[in-house]
Amino acid sequence: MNSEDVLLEINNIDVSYEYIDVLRDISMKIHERTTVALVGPNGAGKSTLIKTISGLIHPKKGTIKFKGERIDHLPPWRIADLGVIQVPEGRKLFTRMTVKENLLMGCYPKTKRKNMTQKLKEIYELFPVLAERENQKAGTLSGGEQQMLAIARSLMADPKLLMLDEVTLGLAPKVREDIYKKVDEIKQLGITILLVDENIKRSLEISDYAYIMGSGRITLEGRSKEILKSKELMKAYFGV
Amino acid sequence: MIEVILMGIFVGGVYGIVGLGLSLIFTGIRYTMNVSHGQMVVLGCYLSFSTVTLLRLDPLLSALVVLPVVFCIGLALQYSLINRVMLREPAGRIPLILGIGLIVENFLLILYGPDAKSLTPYAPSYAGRSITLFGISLPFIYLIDFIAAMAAMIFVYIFLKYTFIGRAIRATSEDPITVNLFGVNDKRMYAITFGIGAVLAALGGIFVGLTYAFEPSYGHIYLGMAFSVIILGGIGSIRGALVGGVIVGLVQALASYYIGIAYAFLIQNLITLIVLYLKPEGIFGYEV
Repeated sequence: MNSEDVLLEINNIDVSYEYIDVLRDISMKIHERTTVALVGPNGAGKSTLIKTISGLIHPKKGTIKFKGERIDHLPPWRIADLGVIQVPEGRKLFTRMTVKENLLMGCYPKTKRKNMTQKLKEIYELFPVLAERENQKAGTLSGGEQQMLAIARSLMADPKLLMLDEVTLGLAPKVREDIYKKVDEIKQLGITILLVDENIKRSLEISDYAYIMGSGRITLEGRSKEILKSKELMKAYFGV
Repeated sequence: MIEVILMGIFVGGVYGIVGLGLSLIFTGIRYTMNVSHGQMVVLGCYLSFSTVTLLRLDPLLSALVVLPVVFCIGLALQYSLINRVMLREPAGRIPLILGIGLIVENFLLILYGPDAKSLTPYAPSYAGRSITLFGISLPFIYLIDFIAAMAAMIFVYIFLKYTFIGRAIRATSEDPITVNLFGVNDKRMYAITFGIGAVLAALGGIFVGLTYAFEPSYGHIYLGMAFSVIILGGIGSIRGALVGGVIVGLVQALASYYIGIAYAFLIQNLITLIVLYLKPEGIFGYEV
């Protein structure tokens, strides 16, 4: 695992959401230039954790540090400014705006507007289908294209930490493979990735390190390769 | 007859910008119905009046003073009051905004008294005159009304479509939570949007003040018109505001001329109710 500094550090956070204790005593370290998978059944709290890191929810207890600075009490738009960018579950595109306008929203903060045209060009090279549909309303795109747009929009924001929340949900197998390939291409660019995905095997194959969650806690963590190799572990946790 | 129709269409442009302001606030700020919008129009009339009488400015130039002032007032109102209520108890917005409208209206009543005023005497070069177009004689101010309204709408269109803040306002209106994930402070957007909506109302007020007379109590009249404009033309559409405004202007003009002013409002509201029943999203609107 080639890593330098710890980019994101979560220390013993408890999170409540609408009066229910959703996350208990979560601790996590994400090193720069690595891909970390967050795996677990529905309702385990994975999306809640992502929302908490993004600042949409604040932890009751514990701290979240990004590049050594605490972010757990900051408003979400500040956290996004710092470079913690999410690709939200369900994509959450601005469907009434065009593909290009969605991408431009990605670099809204003034600090990110510097190389806007250059960035747009690079994004279109990475996602040629979006270049074709530049002026179409986002709502008219197919499922796979919308997912590409959601990822591209987040890339426009110059993420230091990119969090992908269920980016293959509800997509056909061939399209899912296209998405996984894109994630791999993004990995190659050296971006730190936190990946939440329903496909356990694929997540472990793409990632360097994995955290396995259940009922709001982290039940297991370790290097993805080792987890994959251990047949007992795979059987016990995933019945695979 | 043709004069009446043209006057109705031209002044309808002004009703259109007032309606546009209301529509912007509604779509941009989590469906907030600005029930003080009419008072913002009248505020524009009176602020212009004071600027004209104190600073000896032409009413059209008074916009340079009035609009920034109204923008700041709108910003402050949304940021400090409406945001707080909206984010904790959304249903409390209407009573709050109603209260703000009442305060503005009574404030104007105390400052200026109940007698009707007009900006027309302060712009003799264009507001008192008539011009002749293709053999039809019209008060010049109506033409100015329409040109100004078109200019304002084009300006709003360009702002919303091509600037970063304009895009942020549009994105916030569609998904106020997700925009935060891209560095947009939605609370700040609401303040800016309310400011712009109030400015459009006040701008309408300046032209209304030049075309007709005004009293502090006229707020509810303009709220009713703005509401009709956006129901007819469709919420969330600039074209809709223009078309809605023109229709309201036409109905007003024709009904006033042939039947009487009191009936004009009755007919306007009846038409609004019918459209609400048959096609609530209006001509150009999208389903809310």
